[in-house]
Amino acid sequence: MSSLSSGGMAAGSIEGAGTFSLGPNQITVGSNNLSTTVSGVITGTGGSLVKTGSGILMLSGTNTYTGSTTVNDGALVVNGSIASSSLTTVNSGAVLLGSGTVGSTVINAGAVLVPGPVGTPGMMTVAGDLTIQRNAFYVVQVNPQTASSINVSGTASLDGTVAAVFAPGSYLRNSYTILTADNRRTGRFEDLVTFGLPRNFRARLDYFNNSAAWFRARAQSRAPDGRRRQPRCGHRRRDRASRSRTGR
Amino acid sequence: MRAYLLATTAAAALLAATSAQAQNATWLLNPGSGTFNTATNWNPAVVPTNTAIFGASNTTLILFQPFTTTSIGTLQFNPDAPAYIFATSPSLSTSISITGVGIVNNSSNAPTFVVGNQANLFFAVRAPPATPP
Repeated sequence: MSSLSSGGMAAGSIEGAGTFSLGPNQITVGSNNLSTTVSGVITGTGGSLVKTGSGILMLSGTNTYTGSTTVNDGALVVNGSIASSSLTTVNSGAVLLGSGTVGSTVINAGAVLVPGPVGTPGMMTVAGDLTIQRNAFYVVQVNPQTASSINVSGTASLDGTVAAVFAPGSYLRNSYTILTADNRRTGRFEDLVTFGLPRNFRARLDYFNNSAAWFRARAQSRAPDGRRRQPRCGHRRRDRASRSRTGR
Repeated sequence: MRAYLLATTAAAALLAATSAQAQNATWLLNPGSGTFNTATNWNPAVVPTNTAIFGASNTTLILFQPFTTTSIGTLQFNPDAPAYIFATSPSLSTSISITGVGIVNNSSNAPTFVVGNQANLFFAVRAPPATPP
């Protein structure tokens, strides 16, 4: 049963290309677990949005509501903009993804941040500050040419785990920028795990000048007899352990 | 005679005020169509402007009449209400304004709102009055 709080609304889901005028009210959507797209605009000074349920809510328009955005369950895909939202909070078990623009954002423990569409590297913009809490996950999708990244206009406070997912392909030694912060970066990621890292490659995180984070993927050098010089860092062992050096 | 005129005037004023009052109505089990703005789809046969009540029905896709503003105080869903879908006609200007308490859902199903590209759904929800301490 959906509950109604004072001055609020609870709908199973919303969708369409029209205008949803919240005024100063909070709308809670998603309890029917459907996946829907709002290609129109959600407006409202002080209006806020809460996403519940296991479905996916895609926002592809330039929304202008100014209250908070909270993702409690399922996924919120922002391919347009919710930059006007005062704070986006993603809670444990929920996912924020997309190629659009969000405002200041907090990824709490157990929550997942995925720039771009699922299956393809993409870029998300944070018009504000980004905080990735300990035990949160930042999923970076990688192909031989590029990797997902986030541009933060404010401060990026980092912790949590980077999960790098490598698509099949022919990889060369490369460095992938996965986050830039126009103001500054504080902290470092807690860990790097990889999925599909090519054989004989290794990966590690690096940081630059308090403003960027990237990870390097490079082929491991081999001894003249063809054996790996550092077999303990080999791909099989690393993938099995699903952990790499953090570059701290 | 004067008393009669006064009584008649008062009765007329009361009747006018009553007819302007916000109406409650319940969506029928077997409505003739899926149009919210058709009075005969409701019991009593009036388009509700205060509380629109939804229970069991064989018509769960409800369309709003285009080129009008439909104002509703509260959408109330009873425990036997299925999953209703409220929609506007694509590409036709339609305005829906929810002006009262909002959505009161006593069902395990929750409504879906599909708003077309020329439509506007206003949540002009009024907070309930504060309870005195």
